[in-house]
Amino acid sequence: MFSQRLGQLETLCKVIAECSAAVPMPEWPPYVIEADSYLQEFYFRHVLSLLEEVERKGITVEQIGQVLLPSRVSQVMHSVYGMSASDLTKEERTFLVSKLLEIIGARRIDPFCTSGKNHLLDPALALQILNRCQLLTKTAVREYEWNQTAKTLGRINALLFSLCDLLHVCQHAASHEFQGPYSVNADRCFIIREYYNLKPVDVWGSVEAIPIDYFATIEVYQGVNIHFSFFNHLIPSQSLPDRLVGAYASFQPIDKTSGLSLEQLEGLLFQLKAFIIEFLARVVSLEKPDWIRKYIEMHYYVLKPLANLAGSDWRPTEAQILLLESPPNLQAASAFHTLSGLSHEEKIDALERLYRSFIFGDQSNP
Amino acid sequence: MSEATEQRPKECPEVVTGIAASPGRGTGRVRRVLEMTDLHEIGSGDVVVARFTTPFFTPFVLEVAAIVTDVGGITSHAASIAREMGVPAVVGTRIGTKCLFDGQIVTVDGTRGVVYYV
Repeated sequence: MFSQRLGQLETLCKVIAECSAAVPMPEWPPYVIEADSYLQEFYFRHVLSLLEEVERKGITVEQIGQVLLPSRVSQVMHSVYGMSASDLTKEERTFLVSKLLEIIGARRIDPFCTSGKNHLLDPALALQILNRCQLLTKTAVREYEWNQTAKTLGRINALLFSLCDLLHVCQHAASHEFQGPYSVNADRCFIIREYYNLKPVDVWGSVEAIPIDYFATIEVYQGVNIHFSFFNHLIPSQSLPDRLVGAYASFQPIDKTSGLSLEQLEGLLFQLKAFIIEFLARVVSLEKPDWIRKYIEMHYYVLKPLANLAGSDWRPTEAQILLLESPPNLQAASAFHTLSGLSHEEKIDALERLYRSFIFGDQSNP
Repeated sequence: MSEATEQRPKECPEVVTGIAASPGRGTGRVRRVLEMTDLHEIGSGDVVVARFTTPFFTPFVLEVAAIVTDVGGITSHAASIAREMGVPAVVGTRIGTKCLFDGQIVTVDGTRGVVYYV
């Protein structure tokens, strides 16, 4: 059991390193390095307390997995480098990360997506769901109409991805779960997307203008390989709209047979575009402390379903918010600055060692 | 060689290379976005060149021919939205905003990670 857990943590370090090496230091949202430096002081103690509390209540990992989707948990994993500056002991760090991995494993068939697949459903069940839906299909309409459908759906996905990134202040995977690819036949596959919690009023207050709170799609593709990462990024080998052959979209969870029409999709596209432009005007006026507070609150908000299970308030405490007035400790973030100038492979190697030190408490420099 | 290409500084290479982030080829007129206000200048069929993109870019780049950024990796915002829209993208060029100028016609090969002056 112990060696199995150790092996999983080793794999995790490797997987996070590979994903993180593909992304430079983030430039959005503003002040992210300072925000992370505050967060690491108290965030992981909060995560650990919630996990301990739900365990005390006898809530199982499977029950947690029902409300805390894998992409949401992987988003928490994204921040584990901050543990090095927290007051967690080595044992607490490994317990925390192992527990988060268990929660991911409660839903994902391959927790690390090392196969390039993010399967939350048994493939046979996923296929049944596909077969129940009345898809818009390439062969049923004229070429122009299909091209419009594919373009519109692609643009909606781009806008929704950005909306998630914007409203959840870079915690975009906390508001979507993309899964697949599930095989239809040798040349065709499909993916299922769910965008949820698109009106985070707890953090932003009034967001009535957002046209939807939930959106789901099933997209069938031909002649394309689609790879899913641990952090729920989707990487296709070809242009997705060009390869779309069937689509279903809905404002409801996928249990109905009829989806949205092209006209309805075009209406949604227009509304999403208008909202983001309007929201731009609202957020450009945010000052540095506002951005930092929003960033921190959103990290807590990701864990709101877990806080609900634990019977705790999801928000950071006033004492933690007061800490934001003290100077930031940039020690943990500075470790990443040493990586600039390294090749991709060297970066992966260095990041793997960094994450090992954060999780296992080995403070030796890479 | 076009007038716009002649404006290219001597220190810039013949082609701009970066990470192949979204497959396909797109040709268009360069529109650099260095300030938020530049977003409103983007036209249909333009090749958007920026240091990086943020969620605010998306409503303005729905009809562009390609996206090029100085920084970013395969899972950066620019790469992710470009793949969704089927728009070719090259990210992490380091020099895109220094070597590509408004009005130049370029072809972006998002499969190979190369930007060619036309």
